[in-house]
Amino acid sequence: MVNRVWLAIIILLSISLSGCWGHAELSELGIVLATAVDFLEEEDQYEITVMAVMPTGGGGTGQQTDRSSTWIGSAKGMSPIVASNNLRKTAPKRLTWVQNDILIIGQDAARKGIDGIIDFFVRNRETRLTNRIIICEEKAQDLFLVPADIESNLYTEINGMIEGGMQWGRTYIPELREFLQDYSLAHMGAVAGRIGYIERNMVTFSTNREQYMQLTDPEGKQKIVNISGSTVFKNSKMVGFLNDTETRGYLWVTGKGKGNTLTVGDYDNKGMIAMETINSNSSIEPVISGDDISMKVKVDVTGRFAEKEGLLNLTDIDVIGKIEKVFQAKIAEEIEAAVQKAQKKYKTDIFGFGDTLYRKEPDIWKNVHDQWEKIFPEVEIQTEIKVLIRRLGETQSGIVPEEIE
Amino acid sequence: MQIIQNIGWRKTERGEADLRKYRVTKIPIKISGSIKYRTRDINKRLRLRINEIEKEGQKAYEDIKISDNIDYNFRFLKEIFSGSYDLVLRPITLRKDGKRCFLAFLSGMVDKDIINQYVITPLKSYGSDDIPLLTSEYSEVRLMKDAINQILGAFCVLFIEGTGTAISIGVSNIKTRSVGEAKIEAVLRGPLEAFIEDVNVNVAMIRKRLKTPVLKMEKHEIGKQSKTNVILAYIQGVIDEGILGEVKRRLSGIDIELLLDSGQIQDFIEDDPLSPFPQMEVTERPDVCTAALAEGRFVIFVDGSPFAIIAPTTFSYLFNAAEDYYNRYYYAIAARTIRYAAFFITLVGPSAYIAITTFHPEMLPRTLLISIINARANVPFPALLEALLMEIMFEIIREVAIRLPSSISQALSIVGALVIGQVSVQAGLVSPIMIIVVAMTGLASFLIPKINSARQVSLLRFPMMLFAATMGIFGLIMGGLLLLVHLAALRTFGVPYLSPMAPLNPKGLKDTILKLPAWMIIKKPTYIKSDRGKTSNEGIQYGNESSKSKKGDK
Repeated sequence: MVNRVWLAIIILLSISLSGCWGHAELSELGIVLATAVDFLEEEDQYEITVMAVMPTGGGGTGQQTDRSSTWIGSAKGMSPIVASNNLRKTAPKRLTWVQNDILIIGQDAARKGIDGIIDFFVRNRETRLTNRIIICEEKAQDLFLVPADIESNLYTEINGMIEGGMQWGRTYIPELREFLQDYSLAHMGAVAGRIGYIERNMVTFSTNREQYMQLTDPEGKQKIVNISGSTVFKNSKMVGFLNDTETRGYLWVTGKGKGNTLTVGDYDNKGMIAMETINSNSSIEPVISGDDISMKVKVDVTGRFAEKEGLLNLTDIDVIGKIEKVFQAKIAEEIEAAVQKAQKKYKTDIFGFGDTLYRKEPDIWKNVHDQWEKIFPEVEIQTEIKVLIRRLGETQSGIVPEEIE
Repeated sequence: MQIIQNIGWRKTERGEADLRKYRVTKIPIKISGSIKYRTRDINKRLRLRINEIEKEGQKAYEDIKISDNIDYNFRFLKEIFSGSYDLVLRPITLRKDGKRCFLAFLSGMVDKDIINQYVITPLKSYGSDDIPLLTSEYSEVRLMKDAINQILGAFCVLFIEGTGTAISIGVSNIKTRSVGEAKIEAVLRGPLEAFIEDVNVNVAMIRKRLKTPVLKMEKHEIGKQSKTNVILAYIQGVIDEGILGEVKRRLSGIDIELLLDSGQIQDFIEDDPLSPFPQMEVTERPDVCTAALAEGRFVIFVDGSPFAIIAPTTFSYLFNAAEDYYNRYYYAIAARTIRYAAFFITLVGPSAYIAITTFHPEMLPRTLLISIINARANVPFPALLEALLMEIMFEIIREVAIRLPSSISQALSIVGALVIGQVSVQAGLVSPIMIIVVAMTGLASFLIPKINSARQVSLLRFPMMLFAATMGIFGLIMGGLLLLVHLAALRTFGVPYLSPMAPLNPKGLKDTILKLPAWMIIKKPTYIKSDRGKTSNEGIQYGNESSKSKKGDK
């Protein structure tokens, strides 16, 4: 019994000995939601800007408001880690990156090389591999200064745009984890998101009369944040951007897209038709004939008819068959655009063709992997696309019935 | 003879003999036998005895036989019960042979009508060799100790001159509550009656549900002062012999002065009295007891307590409500699942809050985190202190709710709801989130159906909070592991506490978290049996208990 008591005392004491290294009260923390990293050429320094939530609470009156003040701070340093440490000089609370979700890298920093930044984010215990990695066309810091429209802070808005953009295949914003899978392979390029501004004289918040008056003022042009396209990296350095269409081509080939809308402007001289994808699968097959290496890209798309103009009898299987062909051609076109840009302009294997070759034809890969950078732009790409339209939506042939012939 | 008649047998109807008269008189008394005593001698002997008894208690008169001398018996009782107004000693002279006798009883505990009608009236017209017994319960006693115990047990004891024995006659009429509705284990469907304080009524409630002679009701007398009747009920042939032997051994080892409630017995015979988990369940419902008996468990009734205890009780029994068996089984399964979940919430609710907010803010969804931070922004205390404050406040309210007379319980709800809930948030002492956590935990802690047995289990959240505050989720897991190890090591009368889950008994699982329809459940769970016979466990599970019993035996 005495022994047990001693054992209990020892266990209890050891609890207090272990200390509280991870201990921090919530009210002492500044929760960083988004981080921007820029490189300043003139000063040869990195600049880190964070958007953090430092709530003020309800003032003890019992009426809790959800108003949280967003704190934007920035600091410079010769490396990302130095800059982030310098940030603590000005931060009113202890900054924690555990909830950080968005990593925005300025174009200057991206073109210089992101090895240091990536390493900082991967090595740090607080940062997660679920961070979305986006490249800003201009200085990333400026992006944080754009006022939020309807949400309480810009972070929430950017997050919403990411979700929306990914749903409709206009952009590809990988999580750090996904980005690193491509980034870590030599001979393979990586693709990250792309963020920029567009200028409009109408912003997207809900209006009252006063705001409406402002909106109608022609001088009131404002910058709003716009997410579209993607960025191509080659050997840790950014080489350029992909636009909407090229990004879609990239997504068709790699099968990373979540959803998509395909539009064909003029079908059969009757007008525009559109399709939403429900499901798309892709596979890459290397085709070897002698010394020639070519790649066969198979894309299988299942879709839902989304929009049409003019008179089309959609209940006719032959008509659907024709429409499917048109969409197939459209997809092939988009893939071609992406491949062209990657092969001819950036000379970067963002599709992982090399990786496919390594997995499926390891003997050939052994011979070519040294010159892959030279070989890749010359590789011929064949596409084999299947489109299947499964559903017509809530109406059959449309509201205006087909003319009776 | 003359004198005695003067002081009592004939003249004093109430039988209040004046002992002082005995003491002063010096005339020898003639008893029917040949022995002669001087009154003074009797007084002297008696005085010595009484002095001895006052010093040593019951032991001193343990072996005194009932004397042939009725005066001695009379005065002995008078002295033993001196200072008790309610002892009635009623002298009667048998009409037929003129023998003197007297009745001794405690006035409040007997039915005087019965005594008048069926004891005194017949006695007056019969002789000592053919005493008429018109009552159903009677027995002959030869020892003074037994006679005294019978008097205390609401019997009327008849002492007859020259026989050296007494007859105890059952005329008990102790006022008790009538059988009422179960208040603590209330049900929507199922039998509503509950036990009362009278053990005989309680036993009868079981008897009427189990009409079999193999239902045994063994009587034990426990408590040196209280001499409380303790009934051990079991079904012969259904209960495991190992369990039965063990409980009898433990009952015989109990060394206690006063036994007022079954809870005290529980303390004595539980396997691990230091464990926070009850190894016996308490119930006020006869149907629960009956079911337990049929499952091969035993029930202990204590006279004066409306709560019976059932053992062996494993962990899963704490989550079974009587109603589970009377409702459709879908509902029973859902209710049990919720109960287990509630138990988990009770245990780790506040500690998870502490651990997550102080160690792992990354575990929360972003928007929830921000609103928690907002709510906590003005709270001056660290999370642990905040949680402790509210939990202790809650425990105070809970304790008050039990102690408070129902007539002023209105005040409690006002204080509870207003002060604790609203004002403390407004004053910035605690955050609204904390109130939610505490309220959830509090509510959940009431969901263990055997609240009577398991009230203390909910207190385990306090050590868990300390674990969480020092080491976060890691500490929480450590605490949980400690509990699990303890539970796995615990045994109740040789039955592993976590059975039928560990060790696994697939048939037993039909009635644990699951509650399959009645026809799918086998009648008696096979895991309710002592594994004491197995050599591997010998000497482990009863180490604590046997040492205590030995002390009791000495």
